[in-house]
Amino acid sequence: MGAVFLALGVVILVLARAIELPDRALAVSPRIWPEALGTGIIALSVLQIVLAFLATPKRDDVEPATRVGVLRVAGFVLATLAFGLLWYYIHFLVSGMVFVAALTWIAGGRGIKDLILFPAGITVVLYALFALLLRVPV
Amino acid sequence: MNALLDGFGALFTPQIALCILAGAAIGMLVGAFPGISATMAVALASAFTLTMDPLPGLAVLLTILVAAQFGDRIPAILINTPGTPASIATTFDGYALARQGKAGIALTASAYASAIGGLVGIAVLMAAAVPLSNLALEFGSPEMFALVVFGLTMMIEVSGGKIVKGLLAGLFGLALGTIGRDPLDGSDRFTFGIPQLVEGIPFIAVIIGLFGITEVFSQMVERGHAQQEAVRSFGRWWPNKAENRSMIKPVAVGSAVGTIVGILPAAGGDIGGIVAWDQARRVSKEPELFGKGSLEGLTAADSSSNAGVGGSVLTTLALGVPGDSVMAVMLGSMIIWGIQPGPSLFSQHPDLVYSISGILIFATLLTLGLSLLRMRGVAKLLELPTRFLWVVIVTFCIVGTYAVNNSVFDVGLMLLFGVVGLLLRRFGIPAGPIVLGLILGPLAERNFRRSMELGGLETIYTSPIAVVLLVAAVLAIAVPRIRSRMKARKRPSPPGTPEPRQPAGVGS
Repeated sequence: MGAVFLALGVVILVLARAIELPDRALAVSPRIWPEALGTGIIALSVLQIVLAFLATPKRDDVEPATRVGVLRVAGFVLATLAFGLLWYYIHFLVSGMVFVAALTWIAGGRGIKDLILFPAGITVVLYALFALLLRVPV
Repeated sequence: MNALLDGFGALFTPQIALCILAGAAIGMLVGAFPGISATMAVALASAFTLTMDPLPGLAVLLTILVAAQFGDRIPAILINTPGTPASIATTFDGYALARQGKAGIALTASAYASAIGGLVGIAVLMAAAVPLSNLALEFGSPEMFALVVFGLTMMIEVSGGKIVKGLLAGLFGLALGTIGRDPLDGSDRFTFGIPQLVEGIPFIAVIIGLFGITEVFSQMVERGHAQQEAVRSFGRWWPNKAENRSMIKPVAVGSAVGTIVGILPAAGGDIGGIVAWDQARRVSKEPELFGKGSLEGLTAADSSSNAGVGGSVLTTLALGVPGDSVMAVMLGSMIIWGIQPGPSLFSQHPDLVYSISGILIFATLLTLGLSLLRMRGVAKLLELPTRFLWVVIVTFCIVGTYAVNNSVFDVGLMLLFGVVGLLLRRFGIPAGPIVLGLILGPLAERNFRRSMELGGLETIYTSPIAVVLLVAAVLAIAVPRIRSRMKARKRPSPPGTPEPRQPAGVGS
């Protein structure tokens, strides 16, 4: 992870140096803040990498990942991206219900109650709350 | 005294009572659903209240604001997802308490602390609105920069002992805050031609992604391990005497901090809650429990964010400067109603100022009652099987994020930050400092560069207020470390003593 942050710091520094300077004279350059942040991230990343070499990594707060769990997360992300596209073309009451049913299936739900009644209920509640009560154009 | 009686007397009408009831119902609902911010609800309600008289209209808007800051504690405590940004700090200890089977006490304590904080904020500011507003007027760019630096020192405190990782996360948050318009010349910066980024990275999408979506994804990835079960037990509902006593000091700290933060323009309940949580930890006899399920931490944060409501409302009235984004929306409505907030308001409409204070008091008491009655009903939510809970949280996060700006882009960003948050959590990098950096970054940069333009570093170190704040920032970092080293020298800890876990909502 230290290497990822190191790369991020370099990208920020490069982008900061690409900021165009205004014609008028300024007391401080508009690049100063992002440059300082990029430099700070690089310095701390190097420190983190050094510490990672010197110390044994501790993972006391994190449980091991399960294969099915990773697949479920990937399924949720893909389903959400698909819903983003579907939402443009199909009314929320239909696309929303299909989406909720898909998520429930990915999460392990099976049967009529899980895949029809629950999605229908959630979609109607969402529609009533956002579209009817709060006038959000869903 | 006449203005006080006139102001409060004007509230005793059926119409105002109805407006306060409606506002409380809407506000509680708004707060309880992650993604629907109080700002959004007040903005939507403004469209309906503009045709009303000023007082009933204000009763609806102000009550929505107050009630949303009670309702938002429910998802923060039960599912580790802040209902609104004001309850970010609630997750630090609230969720940990819920996972220990103390959700009932957490909800009750949170409701009382929120109410006490709210009432203290209103009472203090009714008595001292004018002098406190005069002090806030003294805050120019150097003082604001120093205040933000003081705020940034909390990155270390919310890092849960992982200082380097916490600082990295904080700098990442500060870097995210540079996306959008340059704070001085207004030119686009790091937007890559994406119009949705011109106004800055959508804050709500980021916090919902980092807290709500990450929590669900994390539970999914680790499913099969007993510790990741959703909260299912409420336990006791009422704190015992010892617990009540332990909450007095943090509620006092939270109420004081929240009132002060609320007065400052552009600092809202989210900042107030985090600052108070940190300050209460510093003065606590059991700081090691903070972030692991401390009632002190929970009540300090909640009393502070609600105390800030009184502060932000009265700053808006006294200065004509919105205390936060909700008040900016409310300011617009007041101007349309023909009320011009500012120093002259106190001489022209003194009764209105007391009417507004009265609305806030009634709204707080009513919402406290609703919170205590309704809490047992939330138990039903926890009977949902985990797969349903995941789906409910994710769908509400998606639609709620979309609703803020009617933007699919925001939903994508929320999803991205959900995945980023999951990766960060797997590598032990806390998310709390990212949010802190994102909130404070633009304020820090704007005020630093303005100070430089005004006269260089001299403007900062010649300002007594700025110097006091900067010294406080240095002391805030140094004193706890010196104190803990001195304690460690006196009483070495036994081998194998575990390091304190990072706060549930912070590090996750």
